[in-house]
Amino acid sequence: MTNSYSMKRSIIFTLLIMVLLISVVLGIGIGAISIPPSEIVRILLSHVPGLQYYFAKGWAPEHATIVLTMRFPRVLLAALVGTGLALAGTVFQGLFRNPMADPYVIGVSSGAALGAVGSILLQSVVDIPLRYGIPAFAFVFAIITILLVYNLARVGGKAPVMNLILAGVAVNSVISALVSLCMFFSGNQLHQVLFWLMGGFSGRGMDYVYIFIPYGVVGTAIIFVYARELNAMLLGEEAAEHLGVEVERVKRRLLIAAALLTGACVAVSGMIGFVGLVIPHIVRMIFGPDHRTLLPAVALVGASFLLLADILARVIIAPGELPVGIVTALVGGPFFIYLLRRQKSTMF
Amino acid sequence: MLFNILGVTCGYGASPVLKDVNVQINSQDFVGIVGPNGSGKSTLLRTISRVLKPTHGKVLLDEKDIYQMSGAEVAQKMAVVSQEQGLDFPFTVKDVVMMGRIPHLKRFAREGSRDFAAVARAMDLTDTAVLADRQVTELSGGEKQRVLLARALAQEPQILLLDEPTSYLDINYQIEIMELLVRMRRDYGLTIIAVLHDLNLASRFSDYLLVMKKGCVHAVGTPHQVITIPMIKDVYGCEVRVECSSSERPYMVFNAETKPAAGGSARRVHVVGGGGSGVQIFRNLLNAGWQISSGVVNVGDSDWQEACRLGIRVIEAPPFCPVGADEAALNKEMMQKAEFIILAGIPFGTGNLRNLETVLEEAERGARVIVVDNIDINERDYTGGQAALLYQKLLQSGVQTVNSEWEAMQLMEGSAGNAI
Amino acid sequence: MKSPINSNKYRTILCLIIFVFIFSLSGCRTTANKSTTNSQISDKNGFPVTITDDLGRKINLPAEPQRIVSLAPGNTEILFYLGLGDRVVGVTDYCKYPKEARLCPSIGGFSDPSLEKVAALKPDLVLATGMHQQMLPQLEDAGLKVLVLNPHKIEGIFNDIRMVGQAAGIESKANALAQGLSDRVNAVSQKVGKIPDQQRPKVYYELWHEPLMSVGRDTIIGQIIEVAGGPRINDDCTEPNPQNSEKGNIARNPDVMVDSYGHGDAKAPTPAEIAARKGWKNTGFVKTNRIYSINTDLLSIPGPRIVEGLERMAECLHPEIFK
Repeated sequence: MTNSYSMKRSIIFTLLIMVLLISVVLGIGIGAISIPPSEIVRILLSHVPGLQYYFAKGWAPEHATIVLTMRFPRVLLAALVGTGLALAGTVFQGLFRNPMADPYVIGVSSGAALGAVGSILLQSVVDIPLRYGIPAFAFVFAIITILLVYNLARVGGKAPVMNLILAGVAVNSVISALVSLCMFFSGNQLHQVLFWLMGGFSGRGMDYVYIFIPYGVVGTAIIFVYARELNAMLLGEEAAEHLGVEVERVKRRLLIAAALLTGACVAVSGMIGFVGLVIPHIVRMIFGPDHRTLLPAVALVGASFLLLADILARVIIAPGELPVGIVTALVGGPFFIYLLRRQKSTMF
Repeated sequence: MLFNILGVTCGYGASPVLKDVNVQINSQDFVGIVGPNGSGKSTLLRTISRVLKPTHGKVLLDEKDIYQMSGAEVAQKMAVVSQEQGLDFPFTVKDVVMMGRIPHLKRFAREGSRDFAAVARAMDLTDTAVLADRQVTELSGGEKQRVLLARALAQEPQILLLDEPTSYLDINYQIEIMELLVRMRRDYGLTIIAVLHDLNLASRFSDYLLVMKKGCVHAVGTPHQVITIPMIKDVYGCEVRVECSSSERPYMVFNAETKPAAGGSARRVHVVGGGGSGVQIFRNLLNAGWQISSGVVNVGDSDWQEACRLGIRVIEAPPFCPVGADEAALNKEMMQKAEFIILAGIPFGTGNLRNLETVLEEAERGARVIVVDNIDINERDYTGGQAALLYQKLLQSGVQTVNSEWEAMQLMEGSAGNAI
Repeated sequence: MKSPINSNKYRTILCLIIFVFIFSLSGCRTTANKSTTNSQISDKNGFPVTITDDLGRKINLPAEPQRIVSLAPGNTEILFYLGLGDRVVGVTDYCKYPKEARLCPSIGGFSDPSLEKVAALKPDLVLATGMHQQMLPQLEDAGLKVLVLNPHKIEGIFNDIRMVGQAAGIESKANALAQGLSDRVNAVSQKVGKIPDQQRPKVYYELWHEPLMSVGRDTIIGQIIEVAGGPRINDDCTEPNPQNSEKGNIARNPDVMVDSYGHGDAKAPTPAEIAARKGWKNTGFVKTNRIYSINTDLLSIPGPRIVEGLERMAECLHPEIFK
């Protein structure tokens, strides 16, 4: 490893972190009500434990309300979901050795959608707590779906990758049909259902962040721990076994971790596409396939990307808001095509 | 250190691919596994590399069942170079070779100097150091193979399993890889187990060969014992020639054209030789399409070995024993069935004097005998004059004499009128 | 090889999930009816007061709210009807009635209000609807008091008027106004009650013509039609079948058609256009030309003007009795 190479990598990493920070500040700074950045920074810093007394309260209380209860949680959520989707996508692409894999390929997201839609419809019968009800249902159904898919794909003690993909596609279509059925019968709840399905971060507060964090942390931790094994599995499952990797066990754990992450993302923010599919590719083109550098880079880029997409979504047709999924596709798609054209070798 | 494969039966579905395979491999052996497609070679390799658990039987490494050991534990001792290259991702060569250190690295440990040293040495041995920063996706098939070998060597294993490691290589690299393996064995005490589809390569480099046929071990033995025309016919179902000289390993040669003559319509000749004198005659006569019988020679004699290799009917006597009455009678029978009898320029002792007697009898009966008289009989008579006497009689009984085996051939073909 | 361990693990995971599931459901209670009775715990001035809104949420108002934001046209109309117009500090872009409402600052659309703008107006009371449920946590986090108005019947609207009045500290005035509206409805109901069943025309109410949508029994409009003395020909939102009508299926043959105009800028279809529709020429209402149009605002907005809509509907259905 020559010095200049790792220097270059350190520089890029630092740049990525700076981009993320700038995106965060931008994200908190932009909104319907204009609040000067200095005020934002002071409001935020005054809530850091220990620094409360250094920042005089020189701002309007409703500004603090807006920053802390509306913008900050939203920005935090967008960053977390961006990280989660991008990491999950990287894991699926590595596990399945397939460039078309994304976090939704094994049906986790449609399961979550069914849970969420079901809970919305149930509200006319059972009083479901607003705060945690929908995300909880969504998440539980997501996990049930991944277990279903894994068991369908299992042959003996192993779950071959091809079976997983096929089972995922099959389960996906069945559950999507069920979701459509629910929408058909949703009556005057249709609006709420659509609102949730289209995905986005508007109106999501800190409680969504709290819901996400345990699954996000656990999922991310597991994925990072197995980064080296993921590298080995790119050489082929048998080759990885020859290198001493317990392939089935690692595969199961990584699948669960990625499913946890995806389920949590979809549960709190609906279905946002494209992030999990393309961000890993873009980052891989720059950093190479070694997951020990790829994963942290993907996390940073995913967070920044979704943050910026969310900002765009808020700004483009202000005061209205575009669904974030549309922005991610419209912005990311052409950029990815451009990168593909520049890259002479194959996608992977 | 022992690698013990005991009663292994395994397969992928209902019917087993391997049936009750028993093999013992010792430390620093170079074992070649050969056999036709579908004979279970690759399956055997997968079973002993801890990828495919057998339904019956055990695979023991140093008396521990490898399927009870952890993957990392086994991978520290055993490395595999498989046929599928699987290098589809733009890792650098260095990265790929470094992955060979995975079994030795603890979960959160970074690579240390020991690991870098192992990688550097592995790349030196396989001549891949110059490719270190290239992306594996850009390499040729042969370069990829060498990278895979480097990765296996970086594991610092005691056993190296290879599945057709030379498939993608040019001839020069094929030899190079095999020689490298031999060197690894010599310098580092590696045990090498290689599935090879090239019989000649296997013959040249292996200590012994495992011949697989239809999921069973058909034969185990040295190349000399195993690479024979009958064996190849039996296992592969095709006719070839096997050539060898005493210092070399046997090698297989494809027949130039299929001979139309077979069975009874071939012309027969009986060769009386021994001590290697018949070897060249056998080959030339076979080439010319003659059916050959030979005798009597002792088991283990060079002529005997060549005859076995070539599938020539040979009347044999036990080692170090003189020609017995039964054997002489058989010999006579063979001579009578043949069109010609060739007596090679062999030394005579009390052991094979009977052969001379038999030839004399036949010559006196009128059989066509060609005597190769390249060395004066007195110099090759170890019977105290008896042989010389018989010999003189022989020469007077209407045989044709020639000065070399080659002349003998000419004579035979000439007298036949048309060469076949 | 490892199957027993596998299924153990799965069972554990499944149990964990079910546990989490049950835990999160523990906050649920089954409510058969959402009653809209308002409990009152008041001291002098009536404040602080705890109001139960249409979703069953109990909101405590410490003092009389002076700055009110409305997130729906219906709520805006109720506020102005109650004379609270000067306390209204924020409305949606769709709040166009009364004219004074258009002068209030806008907080965005109906389905996508800008919560920031709402918060920036520092309201001490926010009136939302059932559509805004997913935004409630964030509004509450911002420290705002939100009442949800979600009426299912005409009575529900009047209850909401009372509820808003109580929240604003003008309980008696609100009760009186609500009573007045109630009386008007009763008046219609009484007159209609005297009409025998055979003379009640079957009503086909067309909500929208592309695709053809009608109204069901449980909607407010459906209820209006019923109170106004006209049973509907269908109880679900399906496309009516002209062929059936042609075959003279009397039970299905509507006598009257009512449509609405004013959805956005769409104009109602003219009788000629309706007659021109394939297969509709022979329906009862085309022949008798009993096709009426009512401004959609009077029927779709859950506010005081619903009574006007009811009265207008009664006029259409029974012109000989009403005016």
